[in-house]
Amino acid sequence: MTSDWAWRGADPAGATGAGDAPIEEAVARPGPISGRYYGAMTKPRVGRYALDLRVDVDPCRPHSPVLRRISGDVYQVYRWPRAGGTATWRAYRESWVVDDPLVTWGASSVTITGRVRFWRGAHPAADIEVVIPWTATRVGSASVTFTSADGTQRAYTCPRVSDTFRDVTLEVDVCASVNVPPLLPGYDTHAHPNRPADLARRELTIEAAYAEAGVKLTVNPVHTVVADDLPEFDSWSAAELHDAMESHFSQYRGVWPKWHLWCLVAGAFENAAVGGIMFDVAAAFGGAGMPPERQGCAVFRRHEWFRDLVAAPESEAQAAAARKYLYTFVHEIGHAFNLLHSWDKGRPDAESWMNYDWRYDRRNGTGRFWSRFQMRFDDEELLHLRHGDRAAVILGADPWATGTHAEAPSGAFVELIGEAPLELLLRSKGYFHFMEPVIVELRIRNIGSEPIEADTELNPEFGGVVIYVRRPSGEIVQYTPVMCKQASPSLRILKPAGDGVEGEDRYSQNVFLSYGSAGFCIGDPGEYLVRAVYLGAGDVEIPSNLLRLRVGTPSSREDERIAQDYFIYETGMALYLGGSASPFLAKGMEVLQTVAQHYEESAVGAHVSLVLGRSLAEPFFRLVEGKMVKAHEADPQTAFEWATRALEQQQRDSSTFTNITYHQLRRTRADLLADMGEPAEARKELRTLVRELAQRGVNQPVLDEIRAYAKSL
Amino acid sequence: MSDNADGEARPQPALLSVDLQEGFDNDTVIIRLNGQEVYREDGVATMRVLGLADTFSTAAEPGPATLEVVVESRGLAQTIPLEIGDHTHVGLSIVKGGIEAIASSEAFGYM
Repeated sequence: MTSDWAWRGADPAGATGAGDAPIEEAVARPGPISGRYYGAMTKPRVGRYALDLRVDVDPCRPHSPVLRRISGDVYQVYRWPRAGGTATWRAYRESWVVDDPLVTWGASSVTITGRVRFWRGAHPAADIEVVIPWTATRVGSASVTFTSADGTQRAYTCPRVSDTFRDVTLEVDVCASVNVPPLLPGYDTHAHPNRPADLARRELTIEAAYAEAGVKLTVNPVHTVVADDLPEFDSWSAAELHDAMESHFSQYRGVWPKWHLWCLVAGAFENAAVGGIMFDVAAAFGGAGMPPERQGCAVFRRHEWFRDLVAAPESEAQAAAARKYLYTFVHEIGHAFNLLHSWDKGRPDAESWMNYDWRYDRRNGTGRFWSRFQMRFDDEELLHLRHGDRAAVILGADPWATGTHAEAPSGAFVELIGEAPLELLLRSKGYFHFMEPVIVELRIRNIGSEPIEADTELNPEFGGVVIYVRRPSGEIVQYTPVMCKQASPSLRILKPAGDGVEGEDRYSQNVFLSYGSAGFCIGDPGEYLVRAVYLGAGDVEIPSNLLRLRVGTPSSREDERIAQDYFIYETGMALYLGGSASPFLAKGMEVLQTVAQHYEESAVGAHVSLVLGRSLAEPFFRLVEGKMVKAHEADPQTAFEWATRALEQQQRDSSTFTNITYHQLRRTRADLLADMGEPAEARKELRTLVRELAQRGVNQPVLDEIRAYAKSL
Repeated sequence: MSDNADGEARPQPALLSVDLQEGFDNDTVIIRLNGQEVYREDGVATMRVLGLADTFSTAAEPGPATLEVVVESRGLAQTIPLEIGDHTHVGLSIVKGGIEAIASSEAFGYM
């Protein structure tokens, strides 16, 4: 690994040469080849994909090691023609790296080849060739060709965009109580006498430290002053820091992940021993516990480390404070990039920004850390920062201390960059009782300025939407429905917002997620994260927001005993099918009746009662000895009694059902009343529904549809 | 120094700060200083983002002392001889199934 940054023509130090000197006259390179390149697919489908390429084969700048890797992120590009111009967006697909490339320097170009390693998903073996030419005045575009084992090729042309590998914006705000210079760190690496003898002298700022790591970190020049002057307030908790981030971080809203980070210079942490913290991690790791993670950090100016911090250090104590101030910022930002402490990675003797000086000294002698530390990350950390899987590095993606998601479905990390005309929203109750059926609402909405005809069949059974679930264990799975349905698209014109009646720009549908083809997908107590991707007719890819929901724990031994029968195939299938009179699912239906009765005055009982009611609303036919027979008559009276139980719970607790489910409940009751020869009562049921949904703010088109239905009864 | 009733100088109590650092995972920890219990907590867990589980400080007489650490939830116990100065800092970690201790005259600091 070389840190000699002077590139010298065609054969830089540390590169692997091709053997004999080239016959052509070498053309001196005008600058480093290493850096970022970005461009579009040229073969087989022009413009269908884009590649963000990172080449790390020669020195970019002083004090910046060469890692001899190439890596990249692949995006799929979407275009939606419309009257005012084409909407274009891209969806992140996957990342890859070449661990041991062969680098062959020519007279006026370099060829880099190697075997591609994808970070996740199953891929056939693929090799890559990257050719980058140069002239005396400029480095040319990278020509990239992937060749799979079967000979299939994909090619890209990627113009050079930067001499760094990542591009991040840091927003730094400061509490009023500590708003004194210096706000941002700056350190002359020779200011303190305890330093390596060969430490290069330079002025290090956060930006410079990360530039040496290969990350272009731009500090937003605007620093909001956060009021912290309440007399009874003296220190921050992780939760309070997260709350402050939500209020003050200009980039907090919107879609994550993104290459933005927030840092607060605050007074003190609730534990005075803490000089800085990346607070945006799961509570179990000591953070505020709210995904997405790794969006913010804090440095505590009143920590004793910074007691002697001044803008222009003159004494050793002042130099030590300035050095520690820089160290703390770089360290916390490193955590945001998903770096663990050095000892936590089995490298307790690493001379890295991610170690603790006193921990190193304990093993190596007092003062040894600063006498050896070259003000850099170690090589493995640089590999992560420059060439790691995008989701493991980018802020707000992988939770902290994870990134080993090789088994996760690749679509779970689809990310939209740009301007799609449709929005997919996921929402539900935040909390579900143990054994309560989990139902989420999917809503597509036109956020463009032109009407859009969209397929509004949002149930994954039809293949137009894919749903991913992260379970409490951390495992990410794709929810697979029991049934796969092929049908014509349910096309509907979604008007642009503001054009016509409110509500004509959107369409919502509930999806039952508890049970699928792989069994119970959501059932264990704990926190779940859910994300959906809208595929439409297969020509788009629009990810939703990340929905967080929690399943409660059993509250008694009785709950645990009933759960033993609840979480079985027959019960799950019965729920999935909305109830069944099949003898094969009789046990499941029996369990559901027990649950509905035992939990009558809870959301669990209400949802199950609704399922039982709807299952009895229609007759049930089955084949017996080759003949179709009516095995069960519809039983509207009993069905109505079950539906009434559900309604009574809703009236006790209005949060039991969301709007769509409540609509289903009232509609079921109306249909049953009509079936029992009481159309007037049925219409009254629907009038009540219209009134109550209007109070809940449901839009006019839905109310009009219910009124029209009532008239038809 | 302050004076006692006889006018003799009376040494100021020193301060012992104890940081429970790495390796704690929902443990019950009891700490005794010279036989007197000074700390008892359930659910002690290391915050991995800091390398710190908990901290506390207690007044102590300067000079030789004995710190007994019991991790009741794991059946671990260790007796640590100390020399307490004006302000002594002890860091405790569970490493490879045992209790490790480090002592310093300076605070450890976490980030």
